[in-house]
Amino acid sequence: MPPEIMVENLTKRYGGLVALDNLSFQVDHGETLGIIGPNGAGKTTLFDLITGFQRATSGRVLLNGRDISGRSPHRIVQSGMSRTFQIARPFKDLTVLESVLVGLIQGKGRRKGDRARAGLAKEATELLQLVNLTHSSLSLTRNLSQGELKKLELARALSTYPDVLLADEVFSGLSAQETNELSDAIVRVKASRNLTLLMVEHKVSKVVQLANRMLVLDYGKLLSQGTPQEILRDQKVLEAYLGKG
Amino acid sequence: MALRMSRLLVAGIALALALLLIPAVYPDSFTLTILTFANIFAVVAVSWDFFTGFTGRFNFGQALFFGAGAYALGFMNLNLGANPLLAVPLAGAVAVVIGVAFGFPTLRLKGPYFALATLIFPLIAGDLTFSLSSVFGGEHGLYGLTSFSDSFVVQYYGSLLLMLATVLVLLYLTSSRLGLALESIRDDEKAASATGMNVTKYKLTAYMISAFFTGMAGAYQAQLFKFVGPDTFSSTISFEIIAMTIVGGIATIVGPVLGAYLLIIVLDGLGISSDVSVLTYGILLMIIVLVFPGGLLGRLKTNLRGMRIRRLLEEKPDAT
Repeated sequence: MPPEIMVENLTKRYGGLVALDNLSFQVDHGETLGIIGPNGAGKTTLFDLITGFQRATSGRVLLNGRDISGRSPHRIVQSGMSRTFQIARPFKDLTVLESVLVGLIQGKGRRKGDRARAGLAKEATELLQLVNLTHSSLSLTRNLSQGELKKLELARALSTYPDVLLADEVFSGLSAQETNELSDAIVRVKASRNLTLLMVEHKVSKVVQLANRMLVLDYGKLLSQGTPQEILRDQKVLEAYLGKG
Repeated sequence: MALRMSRLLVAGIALALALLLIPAVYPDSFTLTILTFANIFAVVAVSWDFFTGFTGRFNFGQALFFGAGAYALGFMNLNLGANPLLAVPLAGAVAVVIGVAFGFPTLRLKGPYFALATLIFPLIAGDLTFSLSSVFGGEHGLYGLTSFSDSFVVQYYGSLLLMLATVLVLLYLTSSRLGLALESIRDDEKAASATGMNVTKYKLTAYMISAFFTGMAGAYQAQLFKFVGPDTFSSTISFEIIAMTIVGGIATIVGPVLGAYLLIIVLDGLGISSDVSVLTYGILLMIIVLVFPGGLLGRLKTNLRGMRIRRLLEEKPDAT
């Protein structure tokens, strides 16, 4: 079986600025890959390239052995990969419930077995329970707090029933308690759906806890990769974050 | 705050009955002609609301569909001897084809560019009627068409039927999955595509549906007048129906009907000449936007939302 995701020599240039420089890595099915790096390292650009929201200058992305580079974002979602946005993008004139219904309806064909037979009501309730938003299901999303928007962002990405989830800083703007709630939710849904997870994260402590492998990006290049323990001891990583001692 | 559903249903039925009974109370040709007009314009305004109110993409060229439908009926009636009543839905279909020709390349444009493009669509189509004047009659238009009836009462009922059917179909569609998808595009196109939605396809679908009903309205007017002229592509139409929709309430489907009735009755009923009509529209529009920011029936949005949520949640699981 090929790795679930293969990124091959991915490069993105904006004029003279190289945002991603010949990046290659792979992710196996069921892995949780944490991606960290200082501001401007190219983490969100990487997610945009993988999910089709931006086009790579060169290089390609394979999902289960199939080249998906150049596909439009909605087709990539239909192939089983969905994402959250770093800055939440709510449907501001829709309610929380409607926001997850949009994805549930679009992702209907992707559910198998019992899931395919469960009604929209049951599916929506389950998703909102998972991220603890049931109490505000009939609120308009423009009335939500920053933390609630982040939870909704995750619920909406999960509503399309992805095999691979790209979570872009889901914990930013959350309180310590909300962070723990949401990371528990991620652990549960990952186990129950056998998800492959890619996380871009600023809260290094959370990634270390959730990921079984990590990538460190710096100036668009792969600085280091390994298990969280290896990364924490890596001198190059410490220098990139803290400067030379 | 939402209005009660059962009360709304009663109000809707009562209004429809009142409109059905009008010819019995006011059988004069003046009243019936104005109301027939109101129905025709209500169809156009409701169709505009369906596309722009729900996808958030401004269409400043709704007259494209109106003129396309009108000329299609004229052409079919004159050259193919088509029955004017049968030709109305066919003309709607022609408007859809014209709509696709203009919408397919432009609906993927981001930002304000689609709105800007729509401004010139009816102008292009209007110019075509001049350059193909042997077929479309140039500035003289097409005349000598046949009406399906010369009775004012029958024409009024025909237009009422067209208006009610349009409202019911579009209410059904907006309270379905399609309506929800369109509103998600209106709110954030990028986020909508992140749910796996082909947003261009959805926008094109809404544009085609909008074209169909507006094309039928144009065709209906053509057989009523027994004449089609280049003014069916005029931007006055495009802007008047926008005013009607904003007065009645955008994204409410029912609101634009009220807007059309109000503006047409105020203008024609009070005998305001067309020279000052645009001015009157502007003043009315400003007053209403200030007093009722969401339009007179803006609160119906909440009812539509409730109706849709209930429908979606009650769906049978195995239905696709």
